[in-house]
Amino acid sequence: DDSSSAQAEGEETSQANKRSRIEKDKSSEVEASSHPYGVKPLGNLMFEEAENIRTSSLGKLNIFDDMTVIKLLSMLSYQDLNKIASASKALYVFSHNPDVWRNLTLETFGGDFTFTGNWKTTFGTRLLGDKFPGHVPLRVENLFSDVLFSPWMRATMTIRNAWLKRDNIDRRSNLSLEEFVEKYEKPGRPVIITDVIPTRPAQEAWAKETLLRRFGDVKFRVSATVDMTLDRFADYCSKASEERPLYLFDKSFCSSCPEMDKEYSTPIYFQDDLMRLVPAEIRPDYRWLLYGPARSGSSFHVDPNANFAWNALIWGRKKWIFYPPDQVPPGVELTSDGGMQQTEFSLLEWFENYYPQTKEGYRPLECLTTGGELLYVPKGWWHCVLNVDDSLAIATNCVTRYNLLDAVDYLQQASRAQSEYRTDDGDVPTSVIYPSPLLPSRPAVAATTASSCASDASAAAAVAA
Amino acid sequence: NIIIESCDGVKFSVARDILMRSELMKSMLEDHIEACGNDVDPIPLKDNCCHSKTLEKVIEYLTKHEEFEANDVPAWQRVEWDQQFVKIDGEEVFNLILAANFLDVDGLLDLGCRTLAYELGSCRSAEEVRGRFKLSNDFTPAEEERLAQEAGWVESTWRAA
Repeated sequence: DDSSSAQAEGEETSQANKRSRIEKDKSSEVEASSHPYGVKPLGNLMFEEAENIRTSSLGKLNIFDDMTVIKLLSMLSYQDLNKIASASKALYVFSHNPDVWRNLTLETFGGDFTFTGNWKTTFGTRLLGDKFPGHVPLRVENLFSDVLFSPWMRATMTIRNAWLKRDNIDRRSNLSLEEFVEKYEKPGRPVIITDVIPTRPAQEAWAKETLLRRFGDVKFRVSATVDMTLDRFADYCSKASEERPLYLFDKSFCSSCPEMDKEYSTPIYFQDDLMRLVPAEIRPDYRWLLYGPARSGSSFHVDPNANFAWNALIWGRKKWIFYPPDQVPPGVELTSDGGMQQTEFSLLEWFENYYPQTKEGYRPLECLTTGGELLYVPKGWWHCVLNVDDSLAIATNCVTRYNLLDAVDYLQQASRAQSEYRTDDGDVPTSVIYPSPLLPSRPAVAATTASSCASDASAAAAVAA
Repeated sequence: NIIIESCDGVKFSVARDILMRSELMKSMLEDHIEACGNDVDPIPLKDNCCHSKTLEKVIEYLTKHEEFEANDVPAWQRVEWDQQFVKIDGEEVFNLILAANFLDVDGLLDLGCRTLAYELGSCRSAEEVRGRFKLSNDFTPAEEERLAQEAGWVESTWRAA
C-alpha cells in the first residue's frame, strides 16, 4: 500500500513537472550546445567560425544527404552499427540517431521491451540485461545538421502556451438531442459536450492507476505495428521525450477487455449509428482506444467514408485544430486526384512552422479538451490533434441518417476506401484522407430517405437481435 | 513517350507510364507541359547525379519493374533480378542512390542503399571502414579507448550465444 501510494505520488509529481514545463510561457530556445552528441543546427555554420566535420568525417559518404546516411545505417545489424560507430565522429553520431535504435528495437523485439529513456540502452538492456554496460554519449564538436538536431530539439522543447490559448469551440451541457442535431449535426459544426463522460463508469474505472491495475498485462496495438502490454506502454509514456512518440491505437480493445465495453456507452446524440447494422466482418474499423504521451497525436486529415466522429477524453489534454471541409489547412497539399499529399513533417513541426498562419488568413476553430470532455468531429472537417499531456481517449466513427448518403457514395468508390492507415513514425492519423470538397452533400434527399432508413434500421436491428 | 535530357546532354526517350514511376518526374511533367505548351520538348535533368550513364541504369530499372508489375511476376524473381542489376562498379552504386533519391524512386533507393549497407557491414573493423570509404579517424586515443570499452557489449553477445 505504501509503495503504491509513493509510486502514485511520484507519478503525480512527474506529471505536475511535465505540466509546469508545458505551461511556461517563455519561448523555449534550447542551447545548441546541449544536444547529447554535440550536434548543432546547420544555421550555426553561418556565424561560427568552424568547418562542418561532415566532409572529412563521412568521406565518400559525404556525398549523401543526412536522410540517406540515416537510411543506410538503418539497414545495418546492431553488430555492424557498432563497428561503423567507431570509424569516425560523424559516423558515430549518425549511428546513434535514436530512430535507428528505435527501429532495431521494434523490429527485433516487437513490443516486448522496457523503455529506459534512450533507445540504444533500451535495445542493449533488452538484449543483455545486466550485462549491458550502458551507453554514455560522446559529444563531438563541429558537426552541423538540422536532420540530427531538429527532431531532438522538438522532442525536448516545451509545447508552447501560445499554441494552446485559442479556444473557440462551443462547450455544452444539458444538450438535447434535437438541439444537437439542429445546431451541430445538420450544419456540421464541432461541439464539446461536458456532461457525458462524468456520468459514465469509465471516468473512474479507467483512471490511470486503476486501468493499469486492471489491464496492465493486456496487450494493445501500438503505432500500427507492435503489441505492447499496457504496463510497458505506460512506462514508456512516463519516460518518453520524442518528436514522434509511439502511440497506442487499438481497435480491438473491447475484445481484449470486454469489461471496458460495458463501462462506456454511446451518448444519445450518436446512437443512431447505422454502421452497427453492417455485418462485423465487413464493417470498417470504427472505434479505437487512444493512449499517447505528450507530443503524440494525429496530423491533419479528414475521417474516411464521410463518417463523423466523437472523441471522449477520459484523462489528459488534447489540442485540436479544425478547418471546414472546403478549407485546406496550411501546410497540407492535395494531390491532383484530390487525395491528401501525406506531409513529411511531424505534428510538432507543423505547429512550429504553420501554426502562425492560423492567425493570418483563415481562422480555424480550436480547443483544448481536458478529461471528461467529449468532442464531436463533424464529417468532412479537417482536423489535427496534439496530446499536450499523456492522454487516454476513445474515438468512434459513425454514420447517421445525416451523412448516410455521403458515406454510401464513398464506400462505392471502393478504390479509395481504406480502414487503416499505416505509418512507421508513430504519428498515426485516426483514419485515411478523403477529398471532401469533391463530394456534394445531399441534405434534401436525406430527410425523405431518413424515415425509410429508420424503419429499415429497426427491422435489421430486430433481425440482428 | 517523353524525352528527358541528362546533365551531360544525352537525350532519352521513355514511355510515359514508365517515367511516371519517378515521383519527381510525375510532378515535373505537369509543370513542364504547362511551361512549354507541349510534351515533345525534352525535360532537362540538370542535377549532377543525372549523368547519362546513371540515367540509363535508372530507366532500365523503371522499365523492368513496370514489366514485373504488368505481368504480376513473383517477388523472388524481382529480387533475383534486382540483385543482378546492382552487380556494378562501387562508384555506380553511389550514383544510383543519388539519382534514385533525386528522382524519388523508392524501390531503387532502397535497393541502392541495401547494396551499399551490405558493403558497409562487410567491413571487419572500423579501420577497414575508414580505408574503403576514405574517412579520417578523428577520435583522440582517449576517445577511441572509451568507445572500445563500451562497444565490448557486442562481442559479449557472441559469447552469450
